[in-house]
Amino acid sequence: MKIKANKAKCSGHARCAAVAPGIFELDSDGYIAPDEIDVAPDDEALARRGVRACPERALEIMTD
Amino acid sequence: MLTEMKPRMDVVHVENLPDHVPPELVRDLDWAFGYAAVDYDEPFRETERFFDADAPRIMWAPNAVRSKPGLGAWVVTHYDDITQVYQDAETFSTEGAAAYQWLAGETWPNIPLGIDPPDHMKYRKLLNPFFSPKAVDQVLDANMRKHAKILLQECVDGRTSCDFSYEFARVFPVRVFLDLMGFPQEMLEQFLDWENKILHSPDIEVKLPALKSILAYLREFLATVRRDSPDGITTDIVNGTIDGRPLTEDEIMGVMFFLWLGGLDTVAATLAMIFRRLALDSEMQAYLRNNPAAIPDAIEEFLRSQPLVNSQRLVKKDTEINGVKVKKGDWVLCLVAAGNFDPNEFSDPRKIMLDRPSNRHFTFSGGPHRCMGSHIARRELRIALEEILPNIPPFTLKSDADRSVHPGLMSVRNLNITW
Repeated sequence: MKIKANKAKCSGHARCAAVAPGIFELDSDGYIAPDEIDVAPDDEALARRGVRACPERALEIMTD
Repeated sequence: MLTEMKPRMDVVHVENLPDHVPPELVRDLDWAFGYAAVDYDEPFRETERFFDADAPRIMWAPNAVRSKPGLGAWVVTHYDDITQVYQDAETFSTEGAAAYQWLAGETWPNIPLGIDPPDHMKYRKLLNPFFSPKAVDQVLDANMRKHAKILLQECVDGRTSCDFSYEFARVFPVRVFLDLMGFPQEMLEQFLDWENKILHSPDIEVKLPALKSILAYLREFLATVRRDSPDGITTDIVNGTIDGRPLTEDEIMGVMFFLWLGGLDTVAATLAMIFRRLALDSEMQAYLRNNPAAIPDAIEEFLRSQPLVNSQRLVKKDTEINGVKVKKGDWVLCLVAAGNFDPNEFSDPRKIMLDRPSNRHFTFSGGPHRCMGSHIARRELRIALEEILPNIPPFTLKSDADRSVHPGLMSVRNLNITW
């Protein structure tokens, strides 16, 4: 599974990293760092929770 | 008994209504703005009225901008519409937001809140590192725990009751803030007195001297920071640059005054409401005592169900919100006290569900102006619950305790609990 991060929309709530630790890397300001995230199969459920936690809808699950 | 303000939704007549405002959308919504205390278990329950079939999604209310009664403003009540306003910070400007200093003849804006994109982000870049989740973990957490433990001892040792709001909630976040900024701890009562007068006194004769006092204090404080360069955020602000140039005097004051305004009473108000709720609900209290790992999710639900700030915005160009024409120069109030209970976003929205999945509330605002202190606030709330619950036996409100609460920033002044 791949997740696309819309950095222009990210406002640094950091909820993704809070509910799904280790999946969403933040920069030193606390905003999403990568543009794209490759999610290991075992982490998919947790990653989806992180995506759903974003108040700005800045994270999107890419369908293969 | 408190005076009840009925959640009215009937159309009211207003003189000099702007031409573009449909008269059928004009409603008196004073009851919804948190100006009056209530004594309900659920302080925000009346905003349910905004989701009845006869309530328009967007209305025009005569007193929606508190500092400009009678001016009139749009009130946005639904989650999706609040999202639009918060995210489009160019159309919906924060110009003049919380600019109390203008009353004292100062002309600088609050920074970063009062700056529109694209300049806004330059100031956020300067300040964000001090308020990031990483800074909270690595720099602030240990000091927060230290303050929580010390204060808790004062509240519980050899006692069976305390005024939780006055003795703990009011003090704890300010002690943390004073250390963060390098202000002396002795300023705690003086700061709270000035802040209370500036924010909550309706009397300009009371407001203005307090305002002048804090501005003079901050200028003196900055002089000592320049002289001594103490470690910490204020030295970095004084030496801060944007676009490769140093900050001006006015910019430095804009940052300092804004941090001062924001650092004092929001966490206090939230914490007092959380403990009021726990004192009223022994099952909820037992759940958190038995499941400390559930505290972070519970905090999100407390934040959702007790939002303190309904932000206002100034419209910079003609636009529409859900089909309603909004014109340049209009004010818009985002009624988070309603939007956080929108059934289209939150299932069973009036139920306090401490393990609610996906809790995208607006209590810290949203879009570019998302509360810069949100990570500090969340950690302070978490530490308070983690430190207090194992160290106070199950508590309730004292039988003669005042149950009144303002559904907003003024929250609970006194919360007498007993164990």
